[in-house]
Amino acid sequence: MIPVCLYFQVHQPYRLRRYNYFDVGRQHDYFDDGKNRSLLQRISEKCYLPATAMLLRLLERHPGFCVAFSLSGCLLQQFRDYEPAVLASFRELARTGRVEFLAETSHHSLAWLASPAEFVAQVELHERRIREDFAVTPRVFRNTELIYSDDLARFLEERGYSGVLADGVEPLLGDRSPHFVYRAATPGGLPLLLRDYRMSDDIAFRFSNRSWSEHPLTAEKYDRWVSALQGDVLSLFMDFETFGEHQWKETGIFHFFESWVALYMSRPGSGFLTPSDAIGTLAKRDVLSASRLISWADEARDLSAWQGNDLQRDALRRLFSLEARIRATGSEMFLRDFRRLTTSDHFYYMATKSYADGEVHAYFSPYESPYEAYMAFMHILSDLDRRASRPRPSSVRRPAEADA
Amino acid sequence: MFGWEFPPFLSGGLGVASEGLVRGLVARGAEVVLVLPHHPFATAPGPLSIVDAGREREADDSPHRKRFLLRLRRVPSLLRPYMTEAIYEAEWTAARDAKTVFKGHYGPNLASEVMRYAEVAGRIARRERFDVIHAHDWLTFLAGIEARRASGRPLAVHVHATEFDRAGGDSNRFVSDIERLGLTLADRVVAVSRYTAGLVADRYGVPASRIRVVHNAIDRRAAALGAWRLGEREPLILYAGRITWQKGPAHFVDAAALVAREIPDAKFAVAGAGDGMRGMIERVAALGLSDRFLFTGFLSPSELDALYARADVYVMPSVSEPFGLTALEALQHGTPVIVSRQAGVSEVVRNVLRADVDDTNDLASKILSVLLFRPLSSALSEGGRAEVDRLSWAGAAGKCLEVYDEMVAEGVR
Repeated sequence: MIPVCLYFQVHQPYRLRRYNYFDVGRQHDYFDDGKNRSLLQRISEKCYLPATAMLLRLLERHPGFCVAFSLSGCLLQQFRDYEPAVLASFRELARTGRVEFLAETSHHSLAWLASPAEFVAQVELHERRIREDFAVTPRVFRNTELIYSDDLARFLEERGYSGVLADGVEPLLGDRSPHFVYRAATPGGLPLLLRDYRMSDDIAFRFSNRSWSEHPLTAEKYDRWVSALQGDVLSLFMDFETFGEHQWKETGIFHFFESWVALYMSRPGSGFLTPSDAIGTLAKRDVLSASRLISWADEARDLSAWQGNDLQRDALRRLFSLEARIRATGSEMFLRDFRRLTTSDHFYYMATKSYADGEVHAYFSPYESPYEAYMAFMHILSDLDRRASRPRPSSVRRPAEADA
Repeated sequence: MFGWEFPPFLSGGLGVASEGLVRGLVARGAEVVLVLPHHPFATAPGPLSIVDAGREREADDSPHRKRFLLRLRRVPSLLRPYMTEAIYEAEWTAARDAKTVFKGHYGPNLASEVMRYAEVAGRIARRERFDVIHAHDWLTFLAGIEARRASGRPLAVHVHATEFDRAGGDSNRFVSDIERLGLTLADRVVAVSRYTAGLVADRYGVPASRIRVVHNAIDRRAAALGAWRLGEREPLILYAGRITWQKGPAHFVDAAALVAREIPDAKFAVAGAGDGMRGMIERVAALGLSDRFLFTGFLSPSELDALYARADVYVMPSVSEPFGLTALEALQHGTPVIVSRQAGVSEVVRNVLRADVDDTNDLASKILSVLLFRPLSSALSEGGRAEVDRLSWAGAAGKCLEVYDEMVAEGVR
């Protein structure tokens, strides 16, 4: 029986308030606290609380069960501010010792694409936050939306990470199987753990899709599929919001997952691995190279979800054109706002791709159209630009209240 | 088909839409008997473009006889699209004074003329061969009803605008009563948007089972020639259409005042005329914007094309807009478009900005955004043009043919 490695991404952005041209110079509060709070409450109730409770049950019931999380810093801050009970339940999971926390940027950001300095700063910020909240230091890295390339792997290797996660897409694997640990094209051959996107998306995307030929997906059916797989490890990576939010409770997603874990654990030779277990114990296969950036998003599995059109590229360019100036002010408040704006979601909302992907983008977007997302973001940048360019009144030098 | 002539000058979407639909139907091989009110003062030689499209076809029963797919029946009448009683009375007086060649008698007022037109329609219906009747907007609803009674054929009424759109309610009982009558008696109601379909269901109580949505369209045309003589660098914001309450000219002026403050060389062009023109000019003057505004009056299609092409953004701030064909025309020229949230056109094109016209800040902010952010204006322009290029009147006509098939299958209710 192939071992299984589970990793769940847990993230919510700071959504922006309605913001237009005439707010520039007047309204310096860019984030919709009311909406962020009420959404977090809803998602906590539907997903985070019941899903962490489910995992705790599984950890208690099955000594061989383990999982990994990547929790974004902007979500951890929102838990602190709005839903401390959820943070407590993640801590409870951490106390079992069978939960791994992964490294990422504090703000689930696109910093890797724009500024190495800001990328490092956010990675360090995130590491501190994970240590504070869970008393562990992450060793395995997962970049925003599994954005990955050889350059990133080299960078992570130099910083001493023990491994990195990526999507098991054809440009990387060729005709190889995703069910092994590979080596990145780096001097030290950084271990590379790859998502089986078909098996992952069967749960994360297709589970409740009635037009899918395999609907309904039962624990027995999924168990049969897993049993048929060959290799060292099956990596199932998905959004944690799959449980109760993307797939509602009524679809039977919780029941399905618990039943499947029980069924799988009853098979001889089955077992779960954390990413660190897999990287530490399994043989490393070929060197895989990604000279171009890949990701786990949309059908294209490239950067087009966030940098696919001129609006998105313009917004990212303009945002990072402010970086040096903001840093020079030394203002934690400006830096906090800047960092919250680097979150990938803001760019995702600006995607103008139509067809299948467009519908996924629309599902996640709080905006009526990608143009609304772009305009609000750009007017906010105008305001941030003005504030950062102006000689500051002393009141701005408030003590640190940065996220993460 | 009780339709309208293509207007020689910009005067709203009704003529454009009914001509486009006839051309689309003929292109799909349908036979159309087109009944038109023929105005004695019509300056243009009539619907030439329609006749051009009226290809010949071998009649099935007689291989040697050729028959036009399109048969025109012109009825001398003073009716024009969007006519009001006041306008009718002025035209009637002018026609009487000019001693026009028409030997019959035009009705002394709009109501009687609409009813006289219906009587003639009944006579035509008894002579012609056809399977279904299709009438466009309230002025021809009675004609459609009369033709249905005379022929026993099913009737579709096509709603391009209702009195609720034009005036915000039942301000003119005579008009809304005819609308209600037509909508109630018709076998099918064709609405130009889901927005209008909703309005017809909510305000006129028509069951959804009888309403079908056929969005307006536009056909590809050659690019506009000629240039508008305006400063080539100044940002130009365009309003085009009838100047009347429904179209929200006041919202345009209020937003312009905010935009003008931010962009000192911005200019505003208003193409069109209407009962609200004087009020609009006065409002512009009161806000001190007279040197920023250009009122062109009604323009010929080629003049308007040139203006669309020159404009940096086209704004349609309608209070209630069943469809909004001019938005498609602007997009065809690659001009970014801002429409009100209440416009049906945004059901067929996604690459437009939608504004809350009651919120002047929102509308002005969007105009400024288009002027300031080049990636935004390019995306709206390219995306919008690509969407418009996929539309065609033949497509809309195809949907009408489906409605006709339903009616023929069901027979008259």
